[in-house]
Amino acid sequence: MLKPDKGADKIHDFFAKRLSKMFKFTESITWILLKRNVKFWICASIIAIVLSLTLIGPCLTPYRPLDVTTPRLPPLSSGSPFGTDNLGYDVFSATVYGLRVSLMVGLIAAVIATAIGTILGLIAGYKGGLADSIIDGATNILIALPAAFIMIMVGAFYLQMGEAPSALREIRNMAFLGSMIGILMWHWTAKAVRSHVAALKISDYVIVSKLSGNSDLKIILKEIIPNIASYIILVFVIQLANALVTIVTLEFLGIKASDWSLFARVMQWLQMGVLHAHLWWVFLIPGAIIVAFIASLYLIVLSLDEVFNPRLRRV
Amino acid sequence: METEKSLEVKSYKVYYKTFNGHVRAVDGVDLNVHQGEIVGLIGESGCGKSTLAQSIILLRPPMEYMGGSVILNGRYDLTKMSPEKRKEIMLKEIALIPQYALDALPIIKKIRVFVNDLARDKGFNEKELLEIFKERLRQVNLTERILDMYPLELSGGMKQRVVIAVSTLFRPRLLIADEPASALDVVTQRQVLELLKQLRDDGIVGSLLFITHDIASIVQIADKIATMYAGKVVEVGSAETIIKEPQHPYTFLLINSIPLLGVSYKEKRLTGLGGAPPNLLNPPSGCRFHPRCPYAMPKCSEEQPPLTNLGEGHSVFCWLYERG
Amino acid sequence: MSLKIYLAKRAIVYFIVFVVSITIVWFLARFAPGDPALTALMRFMMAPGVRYTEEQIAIFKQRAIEMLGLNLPIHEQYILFWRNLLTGDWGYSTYFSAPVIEKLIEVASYDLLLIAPAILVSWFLGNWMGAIAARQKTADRILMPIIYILTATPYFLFGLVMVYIFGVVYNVFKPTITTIDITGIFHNPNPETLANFLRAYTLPFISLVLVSMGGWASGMRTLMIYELESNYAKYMEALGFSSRRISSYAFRYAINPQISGLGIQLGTVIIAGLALSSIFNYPGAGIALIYAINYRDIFLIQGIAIFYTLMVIAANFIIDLFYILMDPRLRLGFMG
Repeated sequence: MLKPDKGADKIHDFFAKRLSKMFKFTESITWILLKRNVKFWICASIIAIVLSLTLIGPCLTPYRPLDVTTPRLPPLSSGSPFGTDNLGYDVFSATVYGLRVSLMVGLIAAVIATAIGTILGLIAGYKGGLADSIIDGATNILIALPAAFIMIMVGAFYLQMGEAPSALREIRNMAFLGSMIGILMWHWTAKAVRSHVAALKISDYVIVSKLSGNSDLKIILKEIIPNIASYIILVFVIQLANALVTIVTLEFLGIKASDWSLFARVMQWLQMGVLHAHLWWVFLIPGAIIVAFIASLYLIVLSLDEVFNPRLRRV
Repeated sequence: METEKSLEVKSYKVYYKTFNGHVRAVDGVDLNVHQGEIVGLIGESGCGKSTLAQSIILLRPPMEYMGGSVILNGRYDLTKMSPEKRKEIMLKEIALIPQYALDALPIIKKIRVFVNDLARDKGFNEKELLEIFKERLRQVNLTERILDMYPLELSGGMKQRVVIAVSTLFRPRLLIADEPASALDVVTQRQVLELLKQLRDDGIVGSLLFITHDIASIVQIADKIATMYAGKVVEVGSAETIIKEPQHPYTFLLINSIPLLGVSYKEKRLTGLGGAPPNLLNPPSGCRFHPRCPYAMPKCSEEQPPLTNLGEGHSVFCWLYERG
Repeated sequence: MSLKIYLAKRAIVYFIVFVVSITIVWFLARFAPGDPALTALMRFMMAPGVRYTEEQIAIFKQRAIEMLGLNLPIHEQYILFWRNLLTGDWGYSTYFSAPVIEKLIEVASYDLLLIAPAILVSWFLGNWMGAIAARQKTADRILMPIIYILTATPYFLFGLVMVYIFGVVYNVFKPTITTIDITGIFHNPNPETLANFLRAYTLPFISLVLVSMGGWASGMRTLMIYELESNYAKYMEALGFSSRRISSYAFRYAINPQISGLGIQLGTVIIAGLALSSIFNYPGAGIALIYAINYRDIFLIQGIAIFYTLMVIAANFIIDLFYILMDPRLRLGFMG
């Protein structure tokens, strides 16, 4: 005889709760407004497309980024959907492999920046006093620092470049580069989170929670974090966009985590004279893809902002 | 002969457009203000009185005009006016003291510069207007010093008075004051109220429509009082009559919610008003007050009561007074 | 607190920031793995193509160490660094075979010529565009997508497209610039060098302006929309002010954060200018930086970092000054 499985029950409850919450959301005003917001859906699709390119792209092409095939093929040629350059490197494979590296570094940078920024912002906003002053001072110094030059110096001299490609070294470089960028970027998040938290701290329900004897940690977890969660997500997306712009520029200047880094290769192609050879697809296609991706990230944040902030709505 | 009406509102409807439908903030309002009169419009928060005032001056989304007419000074139909014509008559025929008066002056400009800009936009000579403004300042008890100050340097009461001075620059035939004294302390409140009455007495202001939720302040200066509830006017009458013999249950309960001076609770208990204002998305059927009315009859929930004239300018909308 | 004291406080803060930044740059250069400074100096000292014995290399190395002061205790090295910096000894660039300070001044003046006007023009144009988009819905529909695409394009990509279209395909402007194109007009002003200058200068200038403009326009647009819904705007409309006047008041409010924004963005914009100019081979720090990075020319990179940091901090301070003078709240001593 089959006995009811307690574990299955628990799992069922878990999902049932989440799903019913989701359905409630879909009836809310936010969802209705979101559905109508065309910008949002276009951008979300662009992001989805680019992400899937990075994930499954490499499986779609027989070439690896440094493989040589027929030179000077225009886009939409068979086997080379994005064409090749004047030496025969396939642009599609360079793009999909290169995007992986660049996006990964950007992701690491954004995660680190958001994490550090949120934690420090929470502490500064909630605790106030000395902690706030210290963090505020650190933030102000960071803002004034020429982060770009620091990144250039670190990138130029502290990354390990060997002759032979090594996966381990590349992963280490990616992590290193991403962390460095993230560490130089968190101040923006911290400032924003801090002002939000400081405002929340004096709101009624937090005061009530405190009077009920809840510990600070519990208050932060139960009252404050849920209320800034959506804001944090928006901040993360913006940080990701900023990080990507930074990385692309750095790669272009010659600071790359891997030889496959997309815009490092674009720079190489430029120096090889693709412009004069009229091979426009070589820089335009990777360029357009990254622009569309970054623009979509910004626009998504803007459309979500319109949805949440009544003053910005043009009803 | 009847004095000219500076404001004639007939069956006026203004709704708010929301995703869940229309919020019926002003739902068929009739209101008259005669030249030389001070009319007080009282009601709870959310009864639509501010919407009435704002929509008369400037109708903007999400407010939506749904019908009725608003005739200004017997000549201008505000509901059909073009924006250009509207700008022309603003301040001259009709002026507003907004609810957010303490916030209404742009802080980046000195008062003098603000008035000069106004003169230029209105096609007036700057010097002349400044002279008129200086006189206004005197009338509202402010010195000329404030001309060279920024709004942030002024106290709440001073800002309020500057706004009054600005809004009355061109001797408007109708001045609409939306909660002019609510954000101020009691002493300043009284000064502002006295000031408004004085302005009417001196002819600077032709007539005044005074909107508030505070009956105590209205009593001091109003000639006529109108009560508004849930988007409709429920009673109109002279100030004395309304205060001494309110006929509509809502007005009655409102007046009796005020503690009287010299009367202890042992002698007379405050009744107060139970319940809460209705949701104007889906107002109650029939008379909108019936869910909270202690005198409600079955008929009240079915049909809206018609106008009943009680004589001497006193009218009420209530089934209690239906004459055959 | 009075205006003067506030300004003095700000000046001190900027000074501290400057010192901290330079220290970080020095630190990064000094402790870079592989001792690039040592290598660079040695390479400079040794004649190319000659093979040296182990002992001779060791002697060069010792001499290099002494020249750089690497045998001194660390705090003395730091002081030595500052002394050199302030006396004009910024090291020697191995790539350009010239003292760093000479090369820097040359490169920085070209950058100033290109980037400073570009920043100003893009800021003014961008804010103006954003204000129009906020005021008129019809303009908004057309302008907004343009603004957003401009914001999201990394500067140099835009430059690439411009170069390709207007330089290669339609040979209106020069796709690759040489130094003579830019300097020609200063040594030899005549219509021909002027035409040459314009052919070389215009593309990088326009690219920089257009892309920066997008950012300012989008920010201004949001700020203006917000301001036009505020209480004073409603009151002014109720008074019968013209829409023009109301917009100009709203603009005055909205411009404040844009001014402080300019300060914050300045560092980024300058870097972008560098990256952009490198595409066009414009003789600025951008190209120099790329060569230097490739060549591991540590002194030049360090020099560029220090010099441009100083520029950015100085510009920030000037903007701060301007902002303080413009805001009546600060002027009257209410804040700070």
